[in-house]
Order: sequence, then structure tokens, then C-alpha cells
Amino acid sequence: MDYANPQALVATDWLADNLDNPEVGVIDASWFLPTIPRDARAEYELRHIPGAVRFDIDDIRDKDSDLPHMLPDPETFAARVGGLGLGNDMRIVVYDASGGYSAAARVWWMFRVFGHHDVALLDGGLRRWDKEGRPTEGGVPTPPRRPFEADFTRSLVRGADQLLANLDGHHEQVVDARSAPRFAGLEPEPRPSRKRGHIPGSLNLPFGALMDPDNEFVMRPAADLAGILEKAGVDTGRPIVASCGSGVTAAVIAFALFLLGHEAVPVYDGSWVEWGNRDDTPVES
Amino acid sequence: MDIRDGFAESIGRTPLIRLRHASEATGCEILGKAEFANPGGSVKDRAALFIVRDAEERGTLRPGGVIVEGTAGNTGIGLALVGNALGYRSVIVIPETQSQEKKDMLRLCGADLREVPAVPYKDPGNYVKVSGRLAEELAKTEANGAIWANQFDNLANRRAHYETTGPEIWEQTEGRIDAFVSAVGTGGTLAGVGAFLKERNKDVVTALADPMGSALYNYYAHGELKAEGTSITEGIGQGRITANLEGAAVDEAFRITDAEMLTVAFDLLKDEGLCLGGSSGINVAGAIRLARTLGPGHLIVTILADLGTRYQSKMFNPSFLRQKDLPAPDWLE
Repeated sequence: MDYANPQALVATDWLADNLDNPEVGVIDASWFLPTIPRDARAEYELRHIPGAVRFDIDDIRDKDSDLPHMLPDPETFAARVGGLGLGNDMRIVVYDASGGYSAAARVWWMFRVFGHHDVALLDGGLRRWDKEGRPTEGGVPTPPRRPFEADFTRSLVRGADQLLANLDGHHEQVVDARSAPRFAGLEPEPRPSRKRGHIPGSLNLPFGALMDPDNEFVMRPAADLAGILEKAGVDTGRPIVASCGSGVTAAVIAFALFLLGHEAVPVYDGSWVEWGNRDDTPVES
Repeated sequence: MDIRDGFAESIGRTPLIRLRHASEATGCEILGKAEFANPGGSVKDRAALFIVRDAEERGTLRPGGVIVEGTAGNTGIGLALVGNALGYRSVIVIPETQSQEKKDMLRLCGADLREVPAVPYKDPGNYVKVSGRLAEELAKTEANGAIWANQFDNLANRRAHYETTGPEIWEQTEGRIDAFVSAVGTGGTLAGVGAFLKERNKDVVTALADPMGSALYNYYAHGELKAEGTSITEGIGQGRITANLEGAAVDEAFRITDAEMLTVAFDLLKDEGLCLGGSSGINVAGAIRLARTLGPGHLIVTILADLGTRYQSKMFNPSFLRQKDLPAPDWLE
């Protein structure tokens, strides 16, 4: 069994051969949970894949929202991405320092939301790149601005209102990428949350199951992904929405499904940090 | 007393019907504007009336004058009946491929029917172009004027929907509408309703439901006017940007096959008792696609353009459908 969309995942070999290709833009999307004592900006400035520009989901976001790193509007996204020297005519490769789950997959999803489909994840990210002893550089590159146009793909985004309406009838299967103890409400959330547990009727599929943690978090082969989804109770013949803590690791679920050919899997942007803090949201635990 | 004064006054203020099956399948409220309830039996009555009133106001049409149009059918029926009610004659040029029911209906309405071969718009023998030349000739000899209704590029068409259909939908949904979807023939409905709704609430999503054989899906999805395939639907689909469509904000576009359209149309008849034509099938299929795009909880409105009885010989004819390798209504087998 092969990936239906193998172009969405690139190997370190391929990227190494294309570092000088002007039609390829590389993004370092590294980001860490507030509970983890690492500074993504400082690490990027110290060392990144040569030519990679930094995309910070806490910076390129909706600054009118109280929720963390929510999607900006298309105009803001286009202006910021163009300012990073990335154009619509480029193949964009995204990586992070965590193998892809934090926050490269979310940035991959954001590009697709805003209508740029030639975007791929670097399999294994910076961890694999480093393990293979490939070159890095420091500093902050300043590529010239390029034209970037964005539209908005509604089918790839969900909000609390849609998830609330979905409680009656469960037209879309909600698949939650958080750990089993957080899903069950047994462990606290990393961010302040008034409620614990999960969206009623949702399924739990911790994102780490879709990657190989013993091998720099590379994506698992297609047959393994299909088996893991099935075991989690996900019916890939029906509509699926991915959710998690704050819309970051949910994108790993959307990405895995994309690899298998399910191209229209939306992410619940607000995820638990929104659901767990509203008055009108029922919770199961 | 609630009484409407004649044919012209009876156009519009049609019911908005909750489509149970489509709503339950998607978790959205999918509502159909019952345009088949217009006195001429279709959504086209609105454009017909506005085109005639517009010509009266301009002074190009006076009692006893002639209305000429090239039409796939329903606009002709609307114009002929509006003409009868207001005192005008009508000359209708129709492609000979249109359904027998529609041709019979036009003759029955008293229209002077001229059938021409179905050829592309760029051909001078195209029914629209023939009707334009005919109107020009008649205008020279008719004492009370002759007008070319020109529904594709006459903006009175779009205005009918901007001034009536759009406001009716807004009021009937108490402003709660999230999205409007419809097929395009002339573009009057989608552009007119869409413009009104977006003025009231810029967040209302407008969407095109396009049959195969039309170039518009590719235009709105990929920026290129390009047609693929064919469709048994009549009066919808378009190969160019008409004046009515020009500048219309179209947020989403869906391409609907005949098989999908027929499945939806047969469900509407079997489950809800609504016997609707092919464009309504395309529209409701488009509303279901839009619901899946937007997710549960949205209020989506579309147009139920006319009744299926006008297409009995095609849409509800198992041998015709089987020839085309399309699903047939199982209760007729």
C-alpha cells in the first residue's frame, strides 16, 4: 500500500538536493508548548536548515482573538508569507525541531487553508536532518518579498459553532489527537482549562501513534496509518474533523489522512483551549 | 382579505421550504425557495416581469407591442404569460433540442414559437443571436414597439432578484441565512440574490452549483472558462460571463454530475413529495455539498426553480435515462 498523496511528504535526501533550487522555499515552523522550556526563536537563530525562513504560528495569527495562534485572515497570511520571500509559484517544504508535529503540520495545513497546495512536510524534520549529519546555518536570512495570493478554503476549517451543531446527529466524526489521559480528563491540560475530558462522541487518536517516535517521528507507512485509524474507530468513508489541545497536533491527523487520499479533513482551530473554556460546551470524560 | 391582483402581482413571495432529507443528512438547515409556485411555474417569471416593466418604463414597449426572446423554455413561458396578462404578443426562439413539454407549453401559452438548430453561441445561427436579429427587424415595423428581452445580458433580470428574491430570503430567514447556492443559466439569480445578501451581511457565502457541460465551475475554481462533459439539464450552465454574472461574488463552486442530480431529485420526490426539475436537483445537490464544506449548523438557501412535470420525457423516463447510463426512478421500473 502506497500513500495516495506521496508528494505531501519529502525525504531529507530530496531536500538536500534541492536546497539551491529557487523554486523551493523551506520553512522552519518550530514551536514549543508553553510548558516546555525551549525557545524556538533562539534555536532557529542559532541553527536551521540552510536558507530556511522562520514561520512562527504565535506571530502569524489572528491578533484579534483571545485564543492562541488562531488562523489569520487571508490578507494577513498573504502579506506575511510574501514577506518571508515565499511565492505561490514555489514548492514549500515545512519542518520543525520535533519531527513535524510541532508545528510543521499546522503550517502545512495553514498553507492549504489559504489555497497554496504545493506544500510538503519534511519527513522526520530537523531531528532526522541532524542525525544524518546534514549542514545547518545560523542567523536570519532576509530574502526579497515575493507575490503571494491567498484565498480561503472553508472546507478545511471548523469552529465551535459547527462542532456544537454536530453534537446532534454526529455528521462529522471528531478525532482528537491529545494523549489518552488528557482525552479521558485524568490529566490536566497544559493551558488553563475550566473543563476536562473531550467533546461528546469524539474518538481518541494520539498523534504520536501516526509517527514513529523511535525514528525521529517520521510518518508511518500507509498500511500502518490505515490500521491505526481503523483501530481508533475512525470510518474514513465518512466526514472527519481533527481536534486537539490548540489546533497544532490535530494537523498531524489531517496530514496522515491526506497522505491516504482524504484531502478534505478540517481542523477545529480553537480545539480544547476553546471548547474547555466555553459555557455552552458539553463534555464527556 | 389576502388577494393578489392578477398574474404580475402573483409573482414572488414564494414559500421557503425546509428540505428534511438534505438537512438531516448534513446537520445544516437546507431551505428551498419554492419558485415553482410562481404563476408561470418557474423562477423565470420574476425576470420576465422585470424585463417587461423595464421596457415599459423606457418607452420601448407599448400595449400591443411584441416581446422577442431566445430561450431554453421557462423564460419564454414567463414572458408569454406576462405578455398575455399585460397585453403584449410574444415571439420565442428555442433550440430544437429542448423538451417537448416545454415547446408544447409555449405554444399553449400563445407564443409564436420558432425552433432553430442547437448551435454554439459563437455561431450566428445560435437561438439567442437569431432572436436578437428578429427583435431588431420587428422593431422597425411594429407600431407599438418590439423588444428583445435578452435575458442573459439584460440587467433587469439580475435586478428582479436583487429587489425581490434576495429581500424575501432575508426576511423569511430573519437574517439568519449563512449561505446561498444556485446554478447559473443567465446568472441573474445568483448575482442578484448574492449581491443583496452580501450587502446585508458580508459574511454570507455564495456558491455556484454547475452542471457538466458548463464552463463556469472551472472559471470560479481555477480562473479558466472551460467546459467538460454533458448534461441532460436544461436552461442552466453557461459558457461565458454574461452581463448579469459580471462582477458577481462567487465564494465556492461545485460541479454536479447528472447522476448526483438525479439521485437528489428522486429522493426529493420519494421522501418529501417534491417533484422538481433538473436545475432544482443540481441546486439541492449543491446545497448538500456546500453544507459539507461549511460544516454542521449552517442555514443554507437554494432555489427550487420549477416542477419536474416539465421534464417527464427525460428526467422521469427510465428508457431515456438507461440509454444515457443514468440512474432511473426505481418506482417506474
